[in-house]
Amino acid sequence: MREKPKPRAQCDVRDDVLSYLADYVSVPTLTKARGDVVLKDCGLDSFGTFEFVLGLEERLGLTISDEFLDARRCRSVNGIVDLLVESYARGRDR
Amino acid sequence: MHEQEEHSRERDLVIRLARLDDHDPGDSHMRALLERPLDWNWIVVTATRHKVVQLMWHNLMRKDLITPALGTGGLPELWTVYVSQMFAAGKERNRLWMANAAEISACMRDAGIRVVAIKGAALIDDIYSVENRFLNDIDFIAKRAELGKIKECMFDLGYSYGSYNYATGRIDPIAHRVERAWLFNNHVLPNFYKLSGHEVAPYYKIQVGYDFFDPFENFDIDGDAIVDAAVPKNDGSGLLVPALADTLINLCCHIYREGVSMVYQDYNVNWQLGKFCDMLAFLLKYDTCLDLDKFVAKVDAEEIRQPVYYGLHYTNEVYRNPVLRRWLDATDPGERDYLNEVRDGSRRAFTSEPFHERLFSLRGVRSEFRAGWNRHFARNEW
Repeated sequence: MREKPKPRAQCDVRDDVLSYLADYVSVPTLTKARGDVVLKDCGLDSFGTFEFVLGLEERLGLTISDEFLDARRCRSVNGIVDLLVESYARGRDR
Repeated sequence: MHEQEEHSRERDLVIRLARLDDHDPGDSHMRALLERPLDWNWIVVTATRHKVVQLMWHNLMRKDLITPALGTGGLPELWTVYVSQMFAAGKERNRLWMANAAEISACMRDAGIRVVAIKGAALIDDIYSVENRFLNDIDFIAKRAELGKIKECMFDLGYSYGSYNYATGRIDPIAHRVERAWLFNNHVLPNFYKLSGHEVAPYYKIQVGYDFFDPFENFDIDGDAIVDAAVPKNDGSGLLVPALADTLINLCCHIYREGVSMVYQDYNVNWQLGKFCDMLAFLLKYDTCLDLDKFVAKVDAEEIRQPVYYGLHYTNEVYRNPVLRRWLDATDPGERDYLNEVRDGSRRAFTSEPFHERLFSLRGVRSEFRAGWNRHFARNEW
């Protein structure tokens, strides 16, 4: 079954996250990753992931609200993208 | 346990006093142990590390064993002074903190939030009294979606995130970055502290969580369902406590989390007899009230056989009590290698040292920490 195309905004966020991850772990080819990318496979442990998420906030000029700060949701690029999109949406609703 | 093990008589005494189920008032085995001098320096330090000093002293008193302990048992009078004072202070602290827990619960209820007392606060005035269970803090579980409101409510009550500074007598705040790292990596909010104004227990320490496992662990549990199923505690305090099956799951998972933790291993605090006593005493009281089949169905639905079996297994290693048998058989996960595993996030290591040596080890803090968390946070920050 083909996956439903995602809204453009989500694709943009994914590009941003991949771009920052590629810089962060110095693996330029990550920007072209097609599937999900597990952060542990890129050498990031739980604290490395936390530092990465803080750096991502700075790169994107946003602050993830406390209720979304959860390592369980940040195990992969797609998880972080979903979290950011939800965080954006919640911010708009408020 | 082998007779040639170091401090074998002392180990025997500590295990026999770290329990609630022995109702033999004369206790001939204990009297025999006390016929020759014991190493009370080892006993008191071990009991303190295992958070069972109050329980040990309570049992010595109720079994009328203090006189033989002071006589042929070799208990130094100086230890008697200190331990009896620790017992009295512990009782005072528990009264204060249990009343405070009830106040917090009432405030949350007024704000439309359900917080459920777990562990010590749930077990005191049920299987324990305020005299014989050590409290390190008051633990609540709540719904994750309500954590923001809970933080506001706690701050309104005068609490702050931080740690108690024994040098200054003040609450040291935590940095915003530490708060965010904590939220990211933990199933609980950072510790809430407030000064109490009482000399014996100068602060209140409250933990509020939403899961029994941290986010990087392989397991999780539906905290919202536990909160929804919670029941009023049967002591008139107004506290809510988990349903019986959820309490048993919590006690098991708590032993598992600390047992496998490399963070705890760095400080040599993986094992506490107090936790095993909680489990045994709870099952001895509620074994026949619990539906084993429903319990196992819940454990399987949550996919937590491994942590549940782990808690039961090590409680059985300590007490060998028959009440544990059917729970062990029903939750057997098959694979057992994980029983000797320690973890730090996704990193794993195995330990070959026998359990009773680990249980009674008085090794100090590691000079070089192995767990990532300990390289980022000081001990008083968690």
